[in-house]
Amino acid sequence: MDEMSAAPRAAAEEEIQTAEPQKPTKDLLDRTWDFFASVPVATVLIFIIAAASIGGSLIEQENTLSTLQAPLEYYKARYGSVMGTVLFRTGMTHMYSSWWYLTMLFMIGISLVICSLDRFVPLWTAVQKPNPTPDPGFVKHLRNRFEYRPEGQGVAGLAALLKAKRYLVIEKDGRLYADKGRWGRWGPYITHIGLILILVGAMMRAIPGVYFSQFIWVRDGEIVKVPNTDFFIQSEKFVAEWYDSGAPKLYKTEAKILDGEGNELLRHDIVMNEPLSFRGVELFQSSFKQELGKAVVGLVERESGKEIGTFELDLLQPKPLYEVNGYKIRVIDYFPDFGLDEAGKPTSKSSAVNNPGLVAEVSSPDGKTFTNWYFIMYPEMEFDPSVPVRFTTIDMGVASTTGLSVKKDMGVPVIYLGLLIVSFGVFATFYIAHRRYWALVDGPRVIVGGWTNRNHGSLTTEMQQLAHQLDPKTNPIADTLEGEER
Amino acid sequence: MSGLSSYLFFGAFAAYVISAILYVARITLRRRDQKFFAQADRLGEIGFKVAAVGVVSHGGAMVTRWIASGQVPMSNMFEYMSFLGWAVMLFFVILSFWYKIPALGAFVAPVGVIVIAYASVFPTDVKPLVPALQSYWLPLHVSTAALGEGAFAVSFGAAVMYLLRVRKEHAEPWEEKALESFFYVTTLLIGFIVVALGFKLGGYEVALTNIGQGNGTITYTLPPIFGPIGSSAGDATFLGMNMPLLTAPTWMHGIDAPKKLNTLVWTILAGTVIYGFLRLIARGPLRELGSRAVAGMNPKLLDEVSYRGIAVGFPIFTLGAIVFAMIWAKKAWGEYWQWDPKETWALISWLFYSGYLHMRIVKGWEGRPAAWVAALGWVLILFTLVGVNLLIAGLHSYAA
Repeated sequence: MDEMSAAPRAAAEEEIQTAEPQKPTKDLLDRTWDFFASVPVATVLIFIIAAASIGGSLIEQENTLSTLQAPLEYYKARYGSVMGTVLFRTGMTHMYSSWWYLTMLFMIGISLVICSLDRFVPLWTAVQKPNPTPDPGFVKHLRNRFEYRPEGQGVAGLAALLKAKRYLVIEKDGRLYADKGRWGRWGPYITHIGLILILVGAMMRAIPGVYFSQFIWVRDGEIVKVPNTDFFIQSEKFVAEWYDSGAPKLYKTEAKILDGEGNELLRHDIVMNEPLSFRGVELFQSSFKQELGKAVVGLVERESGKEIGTFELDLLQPKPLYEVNGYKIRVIDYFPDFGLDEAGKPTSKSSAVNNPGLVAEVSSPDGKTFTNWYFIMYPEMEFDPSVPVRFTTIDMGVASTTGLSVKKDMGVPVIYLGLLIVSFGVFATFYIAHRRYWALVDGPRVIVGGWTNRNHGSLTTEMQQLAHQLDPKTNPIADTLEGEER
Repeated sequence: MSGLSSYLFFGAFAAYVISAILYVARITLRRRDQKFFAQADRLGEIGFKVAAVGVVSHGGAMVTRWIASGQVPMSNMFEYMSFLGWAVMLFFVILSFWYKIPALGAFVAPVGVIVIAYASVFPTDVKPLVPALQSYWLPLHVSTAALGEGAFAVSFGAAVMYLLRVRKEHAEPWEEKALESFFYVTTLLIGFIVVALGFKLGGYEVALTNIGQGNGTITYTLPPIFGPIGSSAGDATFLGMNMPLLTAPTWMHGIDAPKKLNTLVWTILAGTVIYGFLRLIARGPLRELGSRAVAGMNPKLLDEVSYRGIAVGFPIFTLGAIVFAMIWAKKAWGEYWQWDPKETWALISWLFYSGYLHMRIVKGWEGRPAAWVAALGWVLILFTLVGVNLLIAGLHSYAA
């Protein structure tokens, strides 16, 4: 845990190290490059994007509207005529897909790429190809230094200690260079590469065929083509469960994937957080509806009230013919949501089973036929009470329809890779410190200089310990208490 | 087991309060006279130990709650805020241990106390998980995000201390106002907690007719200063007064808008009273009191602590609030990013803190400007956690 910190000056040193040498004249390309390679520019861009995102979360966005008005009219009514028009025309009402928001994201993407390219070679040289024998003056002027009188020859004692601490040690011309934690220096660039990948993954959606998002309703038992694919989904059953408190407990679709010939390819229960994944397409549980689906109907002799028999009526799609004890019931017309149109003729207001009514032709075994209306929810309502048989509704059952999101996004693996790299990069940046030591023999003494890019306190402690171990007499352990206001 | 959990939670809360008081007492004593330094530092040491005991006890409270309920205690606002308070105190203990700056306690421990007191405003009963939350990503996402936010809270405390410390040398007028507003907003939060907890413990509840948007009635847990449209004076009483005094304006949208307005009015009333009271005690602006408390401190060290809080927190926050959040969103909703308000605000906070980290390597931006960003960052975090739920609706079904 002691490796997680930095002081601002370390970062500033790095900034100086990697700064590009000033060129005498610069053309437009050079200046554009410098613009995007600049840390202040990137910083300002970051804050502008943050501020713009705040705006987008406070102004009601078009995709969350549910209104009968046209969007422009809605915004005029909501924010005033002028303000509403301005917000709508400037894209503030679809902020995150507006041209200027995307331009800013694009600019930050360019900045990420150019910053990485701009600093890669200098950093590579500084970190991976260090100079083990710098000018002695460099070592003598490092801020963190100690000296000791070696017991044996040269820098061997220090080299052994540093190797034990897992430093990479290079000895050359009687001098020593050692460092560890190089990943810490690469951390910011790794993070940036991850972010670039995430932006690329998101932009891939613009390529035809990479992304689609659809929504399908599948009734219990129904087979529905999965859009943009060559396979079908059947919902065997949708299950919804609730806790005693009334809060939902489970939404589940018992699903089967079928090919065009009806062969089962896959069987999977789709629940929230566990989508069905098949050939790069994922199906998510995202909605459901439960409606009247079937009714147990009794056929009764009107005079005696005697029940002739019962049958199960499918309210979603009645069969054309039902048979009960020799009676034939022919469904002539069916209205799942009965109503009357402007001309006073029967019609179905919707395809939902809200008030089912049907016209049935009943043939008795002795060859007589009668035609009558039957309203499943209101069996007493009859248009012709003279018919010798009538229907009664004994029971009604519910049929479920599951709502599934069908999604395909080939950018997702790229996004996930980007997220993985970003995660590694941020931890490397802040949890790994790059520490380096240079040592040279100066007469009877060895001069050791240390440098780190972050957490100077911890480097100081380590150097004190090293000095003490190498030469306890001249380097007693100092009081390490770090304090305030003493 | 759940009884034990409540005791441990209460014990932790008491420990944090005592610790905060000890830290404040330490500073006050030190300000008196140099001869009290030894006693004062003794108080600081005890304060640190008490805070550490509180963190352990609080951890125990969460574990026992987990065992008792059989589900990870991160599924409602109470549990989440409680965890956040724990994270704040945990990082406070860690960073105090590293840097040995007891004065930090006088600023950060109260933040922890406020977060946990705020948690207690919400219903504490265990609710079974709705389908969207039934995933191992819930504890992963929530705990990592909250841990990062806890570290940011410590950074916030140190940044405010830094700003209070350096304002003596130089401060723009807007900085003076902004610093004072930090204190004012804090007292608003305290005001809300006092009012909400007071009436919750008193069991105040009244259902009022509502003919605006929503169904029939709204249940108020605070005496209605502003009632819903359609309610009339005398529907409720408080201290012998006929309430509501006023009805909410008709342009307010949203199902519980009148109730939220009422809560806001109560918060401002109570917060302003507390603020005025504190100002009377301090005999001046609260920023002056704060500046006196940090007068002897090394600003560089405060700056370093503030930076380190963010440096420690940023990777954890990135993992929890961005990486895990995106993966879970993909699994649950089918889209890794939908510009849902909560997602957007997590991104805003993340951008803000990454802006801070870049500022640290730009000459001239690394001192006071960066400290302002560190202080404002926590305000954004608070808005992400609380404000988004109260003011903007979204897919996150965490709202109380």
